[in-house]
Amino acid sequence: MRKFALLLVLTTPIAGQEFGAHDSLLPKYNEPQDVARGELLFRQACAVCHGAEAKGGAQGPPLNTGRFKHAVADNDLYTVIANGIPGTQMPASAYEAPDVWRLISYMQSLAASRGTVELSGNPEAGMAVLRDKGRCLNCHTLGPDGNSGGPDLTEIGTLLSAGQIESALVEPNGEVRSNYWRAKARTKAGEEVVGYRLNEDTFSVQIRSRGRLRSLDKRQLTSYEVLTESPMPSYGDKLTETELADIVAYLTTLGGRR
Amino acid sequence: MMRQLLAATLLWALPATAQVTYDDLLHAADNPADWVTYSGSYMSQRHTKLDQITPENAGELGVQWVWQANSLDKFQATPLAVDGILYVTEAPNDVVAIDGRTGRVFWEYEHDLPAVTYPCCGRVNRGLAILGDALYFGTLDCRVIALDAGTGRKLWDKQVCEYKKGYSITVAPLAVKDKIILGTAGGEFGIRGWMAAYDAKTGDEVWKFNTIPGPGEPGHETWVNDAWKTGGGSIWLTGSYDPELNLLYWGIGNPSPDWNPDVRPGDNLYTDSVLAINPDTGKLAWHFQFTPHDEWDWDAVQIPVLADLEWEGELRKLLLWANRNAFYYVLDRTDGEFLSGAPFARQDWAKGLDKNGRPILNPGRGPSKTGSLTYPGVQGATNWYSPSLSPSTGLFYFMVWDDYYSVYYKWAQDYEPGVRYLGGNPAGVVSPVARQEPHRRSPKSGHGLVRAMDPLTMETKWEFKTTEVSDAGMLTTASDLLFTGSREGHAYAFDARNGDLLWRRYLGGQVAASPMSYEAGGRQFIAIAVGHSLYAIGLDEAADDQR
Repeated sequence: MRKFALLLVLTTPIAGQEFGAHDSLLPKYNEPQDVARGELLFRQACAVCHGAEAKGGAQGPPLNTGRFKHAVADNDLYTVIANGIPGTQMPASAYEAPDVWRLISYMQSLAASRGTVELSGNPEAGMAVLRDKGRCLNCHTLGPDGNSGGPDLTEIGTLLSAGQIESALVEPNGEVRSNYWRAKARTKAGEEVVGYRLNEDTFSVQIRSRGRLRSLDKRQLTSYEVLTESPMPSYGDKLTETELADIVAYLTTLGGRR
Repeated sequence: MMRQLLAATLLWALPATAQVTYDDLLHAADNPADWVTYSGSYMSQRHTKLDQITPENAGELGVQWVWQANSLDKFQATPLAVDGILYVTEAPNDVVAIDGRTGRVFWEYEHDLPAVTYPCCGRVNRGLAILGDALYFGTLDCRVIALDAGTGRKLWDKQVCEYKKGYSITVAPLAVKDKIILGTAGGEFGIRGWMAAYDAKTGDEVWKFNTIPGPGEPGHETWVNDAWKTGGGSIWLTGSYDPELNLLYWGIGNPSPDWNPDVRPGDNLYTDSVLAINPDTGKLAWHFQFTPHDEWDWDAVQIPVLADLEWEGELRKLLLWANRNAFYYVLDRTDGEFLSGAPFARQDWAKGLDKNGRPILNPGRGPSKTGSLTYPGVQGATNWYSPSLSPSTGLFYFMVWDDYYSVYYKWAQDYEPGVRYLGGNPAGVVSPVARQEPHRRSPKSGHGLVRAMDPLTMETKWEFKTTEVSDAGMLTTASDLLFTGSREGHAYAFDARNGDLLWRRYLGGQVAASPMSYEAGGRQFIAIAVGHSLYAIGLDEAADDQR
């Protein structure tokens, strides 16, 4: 198993911006017993959507990455946990302030440990690997660039942990989430359509095929199947150890509030 | 002059709105223009004798009006209808009176709810009871409230439990004789569950039944240590009533902590049971436990469907129960005798039932530290959404989740008031709640089935498979239609005899409620909550009448 040294992403508040009315009390709730209580609270109230050990679940993104779509500083995490995210399924919680900080301690401890995978690498060098040798933008989008054959990478650092990113590069079929499955159909008119399954119900499928959005009426299909394998090649042998470390380091910086 | 004055006084004094008597409730099924209780009638068959809408004209169905809630909490309520006026709760605890003909509002009661309450699974409410001129409901802050149906003003308001310890009321109450009957939710918070009856006029408590028996109470011997104090046994769905036997039938929720059964050895009565209770005294006549010592959170919180059918040549008073644990049961509701039971969906936790209906466990299917994959998953092979029994087709219709599993984990946890007391977690690929969002189900991870089944032989007459699972209940009509909905956002009308899909409409939100039917302005409507709105479906009028 490849070993990489950890590159921590610092979560210091951006100077001049106030997120929430609380100063960060995290240092007061950072002892092992606080992290343990945070883990218990997480399992009770958060794991049902965000997965055991915050790996991500049926309805919530992973929270073990250290990067968050709705938070930069600890204060932001406090706000999200206490108030929820209006317009989404993330509800407000009833926890007292010390328990909210303990939850944050637990989440940050997961980010720090990243399981058994340690990373070190040069994100700038990684950006070059992505764009040149890796040719990732042939199939992936990043910001305004690239092609929309595969999943968008713009926010990938908030969606997958470093370990999951590394696994996806080396073993693309190891764990392909249902969000990224493709659909393959043949219409009665004789057209074969393959694309990313964005939505499906008993009567219709909404896909993106070669960059275009398509609506398929299941009654007009002669065949339809969901493809659970990834068309992405493995980069295990294509990149050197250093290049892999660099690109993983770069991808973990993508996404989250700035 | 005096005569005119008297006449004028009488005009003002006459109640101008709902007047529902106990006699009306007893004969609800024969007055299908109204819908006076959660399940339509005391036998809870969720069937309407209205037949203006038929399989022949179902193609002309359309959405006639929509009432949009301001609340984004899940809309799980069934409205009541009296004289063409609908009464429904807006999640969680507001109440609104709606013109059933046009969808316009007469009045709205706004409840002052504390910012923090403790429902396990959404800030929901399943509806009201009506008796006399008053509407009755329970709240997340543990109050039972009576409102005047004409104005929405409060008649009485009683605090009946401590919501900060995890108690709440989400069930639509049942009005029986002169009492309002309901129970407490909170099976995920280590409550000690109960059911109670309140005097409809005053709100005073008439009796209370502890669903977790304490020392000295029968059934306490199924608890070994102090675990009964935080034993669970919630109530969150409306029961049924047999006036001849004078018995209430009510389903009871899971034991606490949900997924760590090690701390509560024993059968854990009366969790996951059906109770037959005298409505006058609150005394228990009999019980039947579906899932003793539950390890999976399989609340027996389903609608008790009462039916009088021939069992082995003899007319008997039956109780039909499609249970969350994937078994379908037929019991004699006179004394709880187990008549038959068998699986109706994929399950691997039990090898079968013994001659008394007790499950014979398959070893190794309970939660574990590393996770045990077990069928069915935590939401069960069916759940609280209403089934329907049609006296016309004779079939039992219900929503099945098939090929559905969860991976059950357990861990040690101490009880703390107001904190979820779960002792574990189920992981799976079906989310517990689903608002309108993309659906990307795995073909291997479960699907929904609308099933029409012989209620005694369990033979499947027809089935309709949906890609997604569904939390929608069923309604059958005397004209042999079946109405239901799906998590995908559709409302459907089927031919109840053969399963032909006669009509469907995509309404843009999850259906997590059960349909009902009523008459207003001489027209039949089907009302169903979809997403955050209440839809009234009916036959489109002629173009001139629509302007």
